[in-house]
Amino acid sequence: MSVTHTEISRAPAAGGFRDVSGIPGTDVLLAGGLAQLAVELYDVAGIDDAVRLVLAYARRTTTCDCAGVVLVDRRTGLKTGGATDRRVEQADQLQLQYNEGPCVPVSREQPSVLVSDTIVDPRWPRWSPRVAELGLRSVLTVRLCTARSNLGALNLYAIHPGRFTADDETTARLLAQHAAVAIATVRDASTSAQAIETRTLIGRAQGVLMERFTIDADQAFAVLRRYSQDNNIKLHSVAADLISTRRLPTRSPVAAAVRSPAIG
Amino acid sequence: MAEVGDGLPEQLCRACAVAVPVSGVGLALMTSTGHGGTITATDRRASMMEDLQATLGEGPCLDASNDGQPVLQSDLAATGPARWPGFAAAALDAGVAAVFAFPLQVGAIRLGVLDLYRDTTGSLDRPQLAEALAFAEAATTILLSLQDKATPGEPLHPQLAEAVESRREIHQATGMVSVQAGVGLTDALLRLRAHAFSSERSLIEVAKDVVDRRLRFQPEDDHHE
Repeated sequence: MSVTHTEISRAPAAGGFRDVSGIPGTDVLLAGGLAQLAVELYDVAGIDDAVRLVLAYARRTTTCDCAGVVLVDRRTGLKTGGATDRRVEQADQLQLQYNEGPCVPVSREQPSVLVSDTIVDPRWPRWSPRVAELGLRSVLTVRLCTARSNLGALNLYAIHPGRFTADDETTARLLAQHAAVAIATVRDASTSAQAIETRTLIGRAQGVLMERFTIDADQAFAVLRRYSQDNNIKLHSVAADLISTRRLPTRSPVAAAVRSPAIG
Repeated sequence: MAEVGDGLPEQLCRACAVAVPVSGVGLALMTSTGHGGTITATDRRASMMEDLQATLGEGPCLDASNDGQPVLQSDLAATGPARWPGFAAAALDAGVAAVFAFPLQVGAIRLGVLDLYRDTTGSLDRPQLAEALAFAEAATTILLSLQDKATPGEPLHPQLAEAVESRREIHQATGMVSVQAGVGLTDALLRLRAHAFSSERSLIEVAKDVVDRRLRFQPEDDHHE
């Protein structure tokens, strides 16, 4: 319920848990951090916001220097979801490019993978040396998953070798559980909201075409879809353009589509 | 969590009506452009109240969703008419005396609204309010779980898609009327709503007439045929 959480977020109680990295007694601090994560999630407007928030908490609750999130895309496989800095962006991108690196086993079955030193680790012969060149020596990757879906992985990096311990691994797994629920929730909410907005938009665009060319709803949809396919523009964008400009971009297939017996 | 499946929205609304208690409960999708379709309602009147708010573009569910906080109208006759002239009059006629609308949101993302209708006046006491908020929280979880179970490639779960699809002709008619009357989409929807209200029909019925070309809107004036 948004209203109750808005009220909680005004309370100053959880505000003392910032910048805790490296401080002993992280259990209590982590718990506070996670509670704060749950509260702050109620301000997010989309999945990018959720990822940013998770990365900020990873920085605060673990000993990492920088962090990134790799997400499972239902269509394209793995993709980068966000990073605290450019090196991480590159390191994560290299995992996807080479299809090797700690993310790859983690996104399939393992809950976490610890890399003590990228210079000597033999498991990923192409990826590890490149990451070492980027100045990242320690890596801790944890799987982001909920009971129902596999979302991807959280990658924690450190400049020095041997930075992450078994304790860090436990902390990171706990953080990842909360992060996964948060990201899944926001993903489902925004997918559903966007799908509904898209249907509204397409319906309205159909209506404009139906009136203008005296065609029925199915024919109007066929026009939109054909235009989308021919020009490789998302259906959503075609509909949005049509509505805002009141015309299909110049190379209009309307007349052809309307006359075409295939679309009757 | 318990297994989430078809029928859960219905069960939740029925349980909510019994637990709070209220006379009827409706669960609807909400979007930035307004009412996004009724998912389920416990009874005919609750269903009518949802349609009414969708038709008029006004009412407690729209305010709850827009403001991101519950709208608690414990005496609709006293406070409703000033706030929602169209909705209040029709709701009072139908015997609704109090309305409590709870927004279902994740962060800034609007998902829907849980509307509680009661045929007697009076505030919800604290335990009742807590109960209603718990049901709203559960309703949000159910909507998200449905979405999580959507088939890959299908952007919406069938049960949500059905609610959205039930309003398809309204979107199409909005586009058609905007060309017919030479006005923007917001004005086109307003004209459809005004026509529905003045002819005492639902927005979806009027929209279907437009789509089937039994009704046209003209430029300049609000009238049609």
